[in-house]
Amino acid sequence: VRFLKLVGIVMLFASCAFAQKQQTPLPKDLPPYGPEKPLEAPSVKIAKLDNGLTVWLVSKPGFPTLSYSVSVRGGLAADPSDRPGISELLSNTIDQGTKSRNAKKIAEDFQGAGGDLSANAEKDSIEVSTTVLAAKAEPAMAVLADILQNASFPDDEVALAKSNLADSLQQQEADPGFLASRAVANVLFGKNPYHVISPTKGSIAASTSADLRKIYAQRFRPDQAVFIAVGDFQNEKMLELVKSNFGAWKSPAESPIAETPRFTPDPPHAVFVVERPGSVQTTIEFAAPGPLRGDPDFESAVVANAIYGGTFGSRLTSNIREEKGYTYSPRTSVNTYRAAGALVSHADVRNAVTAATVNEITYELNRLVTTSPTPDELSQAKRFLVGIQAISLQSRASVARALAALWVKSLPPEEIGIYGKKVAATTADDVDSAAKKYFPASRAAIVAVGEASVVREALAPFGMPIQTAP
Amino acid sequence: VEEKPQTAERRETETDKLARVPALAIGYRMPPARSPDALAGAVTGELLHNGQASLLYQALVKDKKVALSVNGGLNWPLGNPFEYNGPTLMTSFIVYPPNVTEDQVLAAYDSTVKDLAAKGPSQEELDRIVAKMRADLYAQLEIPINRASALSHAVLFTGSFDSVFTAPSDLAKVTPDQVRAFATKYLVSTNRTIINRVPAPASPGAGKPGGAQ
Repeated sequence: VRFLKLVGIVMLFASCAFAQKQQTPLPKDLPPYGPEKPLEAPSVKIAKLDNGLTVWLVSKPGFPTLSYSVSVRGGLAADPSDRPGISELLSNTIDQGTKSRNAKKIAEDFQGAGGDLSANAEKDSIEVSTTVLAAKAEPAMAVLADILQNASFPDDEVALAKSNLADSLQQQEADPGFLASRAVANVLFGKNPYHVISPTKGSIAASTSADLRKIYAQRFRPDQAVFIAVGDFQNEKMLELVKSNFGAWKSPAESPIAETPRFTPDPPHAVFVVERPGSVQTTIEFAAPGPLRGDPDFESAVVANAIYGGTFGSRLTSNIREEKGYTYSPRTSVNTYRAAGALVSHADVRNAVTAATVNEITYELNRLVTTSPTPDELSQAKRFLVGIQAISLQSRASVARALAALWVKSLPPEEIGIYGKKVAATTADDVDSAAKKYFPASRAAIVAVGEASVVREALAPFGMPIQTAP
Repeated sequence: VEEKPQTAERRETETDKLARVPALAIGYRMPPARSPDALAGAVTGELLHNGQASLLYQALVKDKKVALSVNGGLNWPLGNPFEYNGPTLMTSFIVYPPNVTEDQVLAAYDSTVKDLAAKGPSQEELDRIVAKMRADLYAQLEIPINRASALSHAVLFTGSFDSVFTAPSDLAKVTPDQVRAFATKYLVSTNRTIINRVPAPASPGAGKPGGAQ
């Protein structure tokens, strides 16, 4: 977290300088920028064990550490409809006991290797990962393998995790960003299981150890899993270690859980209000369907987004932060999952400028659709994206995470290198096409979290239907 | 910058009308960086706070069930326990369930800290946390901008960047008795300030709390 904060601060300063440079023209005699230098994909040794476990290994000498990351198919979107979000409870309890270790022993074994286990429920997968000292590669893998094959979900640990998860949910519900994300998922994905971003009070209360054991047995199987290691090791030795720890893992006879088929959300262009009494700010999100990671125009959409609102020098940030001071840090992103994508714009603004901000976001979305990027805008966006990809993949843990995200989408490791090259090759025409396809404001649903009377009065003049968020 | 030593415990309660669950922050004044006690302080802070195997997580979240989460350490959350120059704190930040009282949390907390001050850690506990701290340090230094930051702070504070390279091996020199002595000297009530931040009681007619279901 500290690292992310630091990178965030550095990026903010770097991009502040960037934004200011735009205002003062550069001297004429400066040499031109060199060409972008996209990141090369890491060299990945790919193997498959006899039991179907996919293995991706990246040998990366240097600091004496390594990251392990294991993902299984089936996450929040695969949860039973009467147990929405149970994947999160499963993530919180998978390391709370095995046939031979209790929760404390598991935590101590990871700590002794220099690690901590992190387990996360995503829409399409559950990822279990840790970063440890290279000298402790063996004991760390032994405890990881134990958790993945023998988790026991003891009743007392599940009861405590349920109670703490219910309290955390209550805590999250104070956060307007969480409320906005939940409403956006509901509005965008509707009845599709993709709308689940967290458990509910009811689903937490209803979940039992038996439920968790059943879901664990369904999803944690070698033929639906990838084992990724990145760091200071030799591939051959690591592969032997994987075989000896995971070779006996068996997939059950029944077929794996069904995949969510690809779908394109079709949200109404309407305002959805989430009441937050006493709020002095309104959190505004625009959400529209976007491309999938493997789509031919994914990179064009990412470049378009960087010009629109995804960078500090972007049009939206220059407009509502730098010029008008409506908000401190607006942000927009192209989010991709296995079966659907979303284009989301976010701004927290003081109550008095709620309407003005909705107006400006609408304007900037439509301006992108109607106004081609200038050569400077295009080259700055591409340069930023190519550079930030390299910066974001400096740690072993982040490389492992990025590879896991690709595997979940059935994409190969080479995508890491393809992305930068496609970004660098993106033309103004590509941006225009992606803009016309994805960015018209009329494609977006609008979620507003805040004082309901303020929001309703402020947004009435836009003439869109205004309703309470589902 | 120097501060006068704290001589009595300070306690404050603040209300927060948007908070849903209460939280407690406990801060102890720390010795100056590079004083003989500082390294033992860094290790003590991590023993108490770092991860699920930490003493406070095990005691408060798992055994006594009086906390939802525990975070903290020496110089937390400003930076790592080595990169400071002026006065700093060891802070514990504890989010606890609404049905638990501040006093229950503090009683469990004090019992853990007093136990550490009385007995010190076992060599095994110390070995584990040193492994974790080394891995955490490498994870920080692995990122070039963070490496540059660590090196520049070391040069700024000590005139040399040597400490960045010796930190992993220096950690292994800390003994259980140094940790015990540190806890006895610094983790005492007269040297601390406690802030309890609680959700404001719902005022009548304010409507139901915000949040979509």
